[in-house]
Amino acid sequence: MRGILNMNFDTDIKCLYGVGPKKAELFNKMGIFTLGDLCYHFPRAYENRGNVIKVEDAQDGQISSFIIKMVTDPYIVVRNKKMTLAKMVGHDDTGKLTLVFYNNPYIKDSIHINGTYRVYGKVKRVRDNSEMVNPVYELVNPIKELMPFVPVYPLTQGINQKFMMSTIKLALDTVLSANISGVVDYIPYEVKKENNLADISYALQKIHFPNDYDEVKRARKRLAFDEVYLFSIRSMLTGNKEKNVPGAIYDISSSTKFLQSLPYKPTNAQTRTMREIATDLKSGRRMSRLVTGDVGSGKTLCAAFALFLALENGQKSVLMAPTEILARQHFISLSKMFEGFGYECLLLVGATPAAQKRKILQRLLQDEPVLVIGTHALIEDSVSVNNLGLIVIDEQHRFGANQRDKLRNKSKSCHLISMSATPIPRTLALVLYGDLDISTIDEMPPGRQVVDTYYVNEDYRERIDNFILKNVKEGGQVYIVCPSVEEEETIECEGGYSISLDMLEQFLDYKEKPKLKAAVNYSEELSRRFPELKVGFIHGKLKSKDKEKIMEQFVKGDLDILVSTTVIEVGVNVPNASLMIIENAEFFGLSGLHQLRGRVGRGDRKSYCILVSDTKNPNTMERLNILKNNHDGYMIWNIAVQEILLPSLERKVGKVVMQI
Amino acid sequence: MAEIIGDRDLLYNATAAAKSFLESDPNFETKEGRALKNQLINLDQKYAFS
Repeated sequence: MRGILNMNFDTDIKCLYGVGPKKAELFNKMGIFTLGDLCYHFPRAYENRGNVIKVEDAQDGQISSFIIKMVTDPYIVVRNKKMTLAKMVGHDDTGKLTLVFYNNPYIKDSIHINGTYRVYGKVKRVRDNSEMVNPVYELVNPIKELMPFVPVYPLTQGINQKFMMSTIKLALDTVLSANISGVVDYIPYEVKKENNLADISYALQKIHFPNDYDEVKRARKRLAFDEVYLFSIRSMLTGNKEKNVPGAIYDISSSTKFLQSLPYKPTNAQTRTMREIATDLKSGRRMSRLVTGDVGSGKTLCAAFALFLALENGQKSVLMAPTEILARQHFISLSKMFEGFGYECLLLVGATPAAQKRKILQRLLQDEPVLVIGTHALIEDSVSVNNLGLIVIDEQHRFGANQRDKLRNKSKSCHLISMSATPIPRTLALVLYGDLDISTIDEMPPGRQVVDTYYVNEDYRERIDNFILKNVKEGGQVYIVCPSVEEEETIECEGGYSISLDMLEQFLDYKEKPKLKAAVNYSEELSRRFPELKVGFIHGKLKSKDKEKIMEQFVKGDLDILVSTTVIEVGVNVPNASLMIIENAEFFGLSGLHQLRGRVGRGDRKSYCILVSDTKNPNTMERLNILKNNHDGYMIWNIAVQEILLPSLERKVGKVVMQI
Repeated sequence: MAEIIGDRDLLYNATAAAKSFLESDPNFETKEGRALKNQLINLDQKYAFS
């Protein structure tokens, strides 16, 4: 073991007490190699165990925390060879609480009569008694105070929460105490002062071990700031370097053939974007272009144009989409489009059967020009593409930087188009994507209908239900979007701490756990409420086959209502869907809401979007009102910038940002 | 990134601070600059940026 003073962020985790080769291997599997990686392995949620209530206040189904004194020792019952049950009783000064543990006979060594414990878990009320099954328990020790907020980490098999937490604590203590001044902070003092940012040592400590939500909020703000700060500096440094890499020179004379095959006239913005793409492709330098445009603005047509030119020049092209649903949709539409030109499209997704996958992989090694459409399955090491000319990444922000690079590394000189439906202003895109050229499709195809949007609270529930019935009776279909999959005890956010601060504000505003609508539970509730309607649900945790089946049912009209998470946010195209209801709308960002609304209004039916929220947060209410009153993605951004951003910018950074 | 884009103040302030820092210390010579350079190297290794 190295001396503690020599340890820093780069030190191998094997130097930590308790991390042997086997554990290190498990950590490595999670991308954790150094003490720094451990310090930056952030909790995905927190358990508020410090909010202790009395047993008499326990409510059925609530996740709660109690401090009880045990009045019995564990009583073990062996039900059969596979099941043991341990029961014990404790109480506080208001009532009795029974603890039940399944298949944990060793509990008798951990919990003892007369001991005082903090127990945390879901309460079950059985007649007048309260019961907890497999709760978390901690001995109340007068010397060592119990943590009020307990972090919940992403794990892998072989590493449990307790081990992860203690290892991270050890890593933090080691790194922070190794230097007298702690970790050197790379954000200058003035910047921290101006933006009211915490020190990096504080942020790292508190993101893992906070005492209250305010500390989490402060730590998250600093770490999110760091992420953008580092990203911006990296983009500014690599910007020009990336733009001068040599690339294949394409003959673009067949552009006309493509344009003539279209059954409609592209918009001016699409034409301008295709011209920019064609200029890149014949320039002799590698194209790295970001195509941004609002939902339904026709980005895919511009991508198809580039894919076509790659094929015409005898090279393979690849389109990677973030979800299987979207990949299949691209596959269907592009297969139709390229059929007439004699080019074949292949689909490679996680659910592709092994035999078919082998055939596709063989085809990719041959020289012939084909188009491959797929999901993350495309970046697997087993996928090798010979003569790859162009990569298109749809919804690029849904992929990590390393995933995008892994795909591009399959051919260093190939051209790249990234597409994003987040209608960010060009000036901002230039800052964020300094290494990319940018095309903006800021015009919608003619005849696109406006989706009437309403922002209501729970008091409107009966009217919403009636509106659902009316819509279905008239032949339409309904999407209902919920923020979570199943009823959870904690709010979990994808991507660790990259939760938006707006969303965190929501969490904090409630002070207590908010009741979030969950897709699975809510679809069951709706089935009971509307027995005459066919209700289905879909979410990211379902198997591909099941997702596909449900989407097919919805597309065919076999389902009246589809309850979903944001898995339908991109690409889903069901023209008959005419009503979108977004539950707990306060938990979605502005661009996410705008994307979701874009799922309706795709056919001839008059379409509606209802944002349901009981929020009292003025910023969030303003955000939902911006969406209610505006339908153009760029307009939404501009208003948000004018009314929310600019006043604070003038106050905080003034001219600097205006120059950007 | 989409989540961070939702936090407009933070996004603009951080990018503005980054730009201003690069103008004032383009060769990473200050204490913060040296620490930042290390952080960028780590970032490059982790995400194969360049």
